[in-house]
Amino acid sequence: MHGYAITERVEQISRDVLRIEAGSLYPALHRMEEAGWVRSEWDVSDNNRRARFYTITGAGRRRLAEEEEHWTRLTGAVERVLRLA
Amino acid sequence: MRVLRRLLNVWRGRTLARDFDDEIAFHIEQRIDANLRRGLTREDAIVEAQRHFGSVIRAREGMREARVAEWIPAFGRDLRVALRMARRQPGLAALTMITLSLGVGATASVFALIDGMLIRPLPYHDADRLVTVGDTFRTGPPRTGPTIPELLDVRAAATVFDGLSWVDWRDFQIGGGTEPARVMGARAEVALLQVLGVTPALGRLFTEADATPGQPPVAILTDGLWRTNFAADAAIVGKRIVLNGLPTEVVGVLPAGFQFDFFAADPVDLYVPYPMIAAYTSRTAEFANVRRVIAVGRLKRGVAQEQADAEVVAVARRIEADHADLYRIGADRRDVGFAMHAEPLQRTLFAGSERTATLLSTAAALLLLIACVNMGQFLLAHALERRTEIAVRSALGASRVRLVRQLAAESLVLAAIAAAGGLLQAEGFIYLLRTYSMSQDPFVASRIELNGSVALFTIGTAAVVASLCNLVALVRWARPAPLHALATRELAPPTRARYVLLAGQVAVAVTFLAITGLLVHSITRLNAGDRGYTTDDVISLRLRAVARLQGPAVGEMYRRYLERLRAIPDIEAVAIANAQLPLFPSTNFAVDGGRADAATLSAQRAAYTIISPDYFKTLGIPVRSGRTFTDDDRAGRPPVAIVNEEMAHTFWPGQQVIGRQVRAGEGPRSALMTIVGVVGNVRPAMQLEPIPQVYVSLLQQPEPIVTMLIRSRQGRPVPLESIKQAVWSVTPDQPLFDVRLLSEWLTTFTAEPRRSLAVLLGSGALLAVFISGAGMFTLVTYVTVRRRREIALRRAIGAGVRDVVRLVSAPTIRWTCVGLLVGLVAATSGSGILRANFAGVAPTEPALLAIVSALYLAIGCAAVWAPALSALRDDPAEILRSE
Repeated sequence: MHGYAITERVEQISRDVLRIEAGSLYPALHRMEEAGWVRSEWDVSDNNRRARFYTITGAGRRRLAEEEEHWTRLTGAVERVLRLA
Repeated sequence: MRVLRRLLNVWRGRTLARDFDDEIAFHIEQRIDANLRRGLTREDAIVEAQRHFGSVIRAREGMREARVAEWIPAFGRDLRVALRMARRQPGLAALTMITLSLGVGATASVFALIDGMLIRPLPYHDADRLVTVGDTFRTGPPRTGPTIPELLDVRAAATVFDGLSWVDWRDFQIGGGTEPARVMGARAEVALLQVLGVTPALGRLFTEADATPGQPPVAILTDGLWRTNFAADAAIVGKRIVLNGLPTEVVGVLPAGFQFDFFAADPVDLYVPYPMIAAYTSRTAEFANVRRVIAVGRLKRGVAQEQADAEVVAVARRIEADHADLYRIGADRRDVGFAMHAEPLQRTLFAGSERTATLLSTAAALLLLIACVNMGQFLLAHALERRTEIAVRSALGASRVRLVRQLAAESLVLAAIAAAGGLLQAEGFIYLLRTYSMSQDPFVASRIELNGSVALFTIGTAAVVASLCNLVALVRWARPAPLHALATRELAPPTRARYVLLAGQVAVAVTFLAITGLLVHSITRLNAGDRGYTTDDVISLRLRAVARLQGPAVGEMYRRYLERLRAIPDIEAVAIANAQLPLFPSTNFAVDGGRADAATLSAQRAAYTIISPDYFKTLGIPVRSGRTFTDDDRAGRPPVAIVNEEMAHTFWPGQQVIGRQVRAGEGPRSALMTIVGVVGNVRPAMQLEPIPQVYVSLLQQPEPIVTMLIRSRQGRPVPLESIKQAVWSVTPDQPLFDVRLLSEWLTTFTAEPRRSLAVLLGSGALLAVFISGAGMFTLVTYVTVRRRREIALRRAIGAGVRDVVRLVSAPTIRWTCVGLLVGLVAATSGSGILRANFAGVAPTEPALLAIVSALYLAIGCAAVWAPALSALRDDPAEILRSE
């Protein structure tokens, strides 16, 4: 999936609630690649253009799982606080 | 894998940069396509896509920072910016670099000294296993050599040593070479060379049999002697040379570069076995209590120093118990507190130098610290001028990381230049240190060098110092929010601490300068004027009477040498004396009719010189009254003396001196003599004031070790060969050595050590002056920048040049004066210490102090003037409008 597709997809899934700034997305993707969480390669896009495609790696999945768990715990906690406060 | 990819990315750096642009372009194009599909016009589609994407620069910057591979080229860009900044302010940059490199250089050279003395292992195989063994007593000298019986006991009982040996040194006459010579011989116990781990270049080392009494004598030559006296004869082993008149077999030659001369009076030329005769080895024999040897041991592998020391202490306790009578002295059988200790050889060698090393490194560290603080101040002033630039850069999107990296790049440039400059400076300082230590200790001098570890130390110091200095600036830089910095230009006023620091710098610089001035002045004083003798056309050489002659025969032999030499036509005068010029007070004396109580006598010190008749003629010393010695003033005739004018004037003012009597001479030489002549004063060593001098006749006081002085007719130097032939016609095996011009000898002896010390101190002084001048400059620059607006305002409402200069420089000048005063007081008290160690130093030289103060104020004014002027050059209206 290339960078543009990622922004589109996030906007689509979140029903336009989450908008990703390109200026933040690309540095983030490159940082993740440096960290080995994603892999990238140049390929041809649907409309026959040269684009950079990102794929998640094994390390990236593990990291995602960790972050997800962390996020769940955090939101759960916030929810409980909101409910009881 | 990841690491590999990152490394690959470094090669792919250029491609990576294009990738960023392609990726961004693709994103924008996709958006344009989407917009077109949504029915926008092409123009609107493009505008919307670009707006939606946001700052392309920022995105590219972000991607670049994410990529490690991009850091290197980015750093290169930062370096170029840093160099450009330096080019923009060449004066400040140069000043900063020079200050820092001076500090680094001074520190590095002191490190080279410490490295040579304490860190670098001695040039022996496994040198860290070498120890010395010494005796200590509760009272008396801190450490003496053990006696031979003690060493034999330690060797028999101790288990920590692979070998334990000893050595002492003697003068030898050597024949069999190209000419008779005197050499310095080491009497080495047979194991010594094995203990030191040396392999002979030719032949063998000593064996047990060599030291057995009655065996034919053998010797091992050093490389130096083998080359100079035996023309590097490859077949020398097995040949016989003549040592002290005895045929001696050469059994080996040592390799070039080997030496163990630390405790010897002169460089060692050859080794002979230490004689294992009863006189040395028995506790009841003649030399049983002689403690002259140096004992060296090699520890077994894995034995710690402490363990070795503990065992030697234990053995010594047993020795003391076994021979209690030897270690209890006096009627009350007092315990003398005998003990033996083992310590690392290197520690023994440099025991006296550790304090000097500490002192020098403290001084160097202090200089470096001052330079470092200064550097921080420079960068601060520099940073202030760049505040706008930094603020603009960060407003334009340069991240914190970016700015820090910029600083790091500048640190690197700074460190590289400081390291390069420091190495150059260190080279100079090391040269000075080496010249200075050469006069104190040639071995230390030979070990001070700019080697790999010193270079590494220099680079490391430069890097640490540059980063530290930049850190100071960084703290100041990073603090204000960019917008705030753009909006206001308020800077904190310089703190009191910065002024106190400045005053401290000034005080150190002034002290250095004044003391150096006094020292240089003393050299001039000592060299100027009449010394009371002339060295023109005079050569000096040393002689040692051959071993078979004793007592009056020695004087008679010297008389015959002089007789032969006088016959050489080009020799104007020739004489023999026991002492080398210049003279030192060397004897107590009592005069006929003077006070004779102990206190007076011990205070009456005179230079005592044993001379042959033509001494005064040879050195051009005027005879004021009476006569000089003749060949008739010999043993068996009434003892006679000649005194100098100083002595005559002090003890017999306005009276007849000839015929008076004086008692002088140490120990067995002490004699009551009749004064037969009065001669002019000879300026004593390192001192301006004349001292009493007593001359006695060589024929009445025989002396084996003498200096011969030969004065040739003007412009017609006498060939050394004809002098040697004349001497050898009397005694064929007479060694002659140390031949040189008298003037040259005097220079090396008196002027050289002091000159190198003056240069050493002088460079320290210049360094301190430079640094403090730079400190003033920076401080005033800071104040000027800080008050730019205020100055403009004041000038706009009519303040003149003087008001402005006063405004920016008043506190700096005030604190400089404080520093100057402190420095002058310190210099005055410091000159006392200098006087105690160096004769000829004036107590205080008001003119000199005035010159130092004036010079210093001039430097101060110059340092203050430049930034003040730059403040005046600015157009006040311009500044007020721009703020």
